[in-house]
Amino acid sequence: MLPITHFLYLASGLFVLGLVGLTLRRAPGRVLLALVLLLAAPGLLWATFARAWGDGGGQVLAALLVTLTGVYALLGAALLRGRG
Amino acid sequence: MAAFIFFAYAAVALAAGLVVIAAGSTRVATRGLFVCMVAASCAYVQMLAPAVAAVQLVVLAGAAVAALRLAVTDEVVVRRRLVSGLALLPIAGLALILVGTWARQYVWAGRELGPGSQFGGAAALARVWSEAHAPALLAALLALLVAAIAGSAGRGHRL
Repeated sequence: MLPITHFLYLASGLFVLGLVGLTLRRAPGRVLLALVLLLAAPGLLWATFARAWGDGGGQVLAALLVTLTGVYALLGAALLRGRG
Repeated sequence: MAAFIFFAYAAVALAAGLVVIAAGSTRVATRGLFVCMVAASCAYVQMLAPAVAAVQLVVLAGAAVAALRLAVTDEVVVRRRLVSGLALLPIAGLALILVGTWARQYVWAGRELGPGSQFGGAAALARVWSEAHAPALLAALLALLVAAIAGSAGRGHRL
């Protein structure tokens, strides 16, 4: 069995990469991509701790967060398309 | 074997994430995001959450990336020195947390994931949905979905 820290490292890495892209990029499209990358990390954390503590509600929240991220990306893409 | 699989897809996910922020072309970055989301969904599968993995594959790696590829065009990347400097502060803090977490594993390896085959499946998630705050969450998702459809439609077809 894998320790929980493995998944925490992966989520932290994704979060840091998203944060770096969010702060270093100026183009709106690239900022949007970095934010999607950043928001994928908390979902992984939710699912990890739900698995560790045996609470399925955390996985529901993870699915909700992933869906929210997708809706956010869709709205951002629509705004970019409308602006362009 | 499980650790080897984890390190394999984790390396792919982090490398693809690096491509997302470092690629010069937005299209290459979008492809990197797709690969990153697919690799990250492997983590959900390994922690016995296939339903969440399916949501991530469909919503993030499918719909979101497709929408981004349609809407986002290649743009000139400009680096902001001041923001770059300020960004070093939270990055340094996160690096400290990462190093601290890495060092802590020599004291306490963390709670291990217990065995189980039904945890996180569609039936288990459906039961949790029905017992938890499903109506409120569904209403919020429905409102967001309607907003997304309304926002992504053409000017002549908006609600």
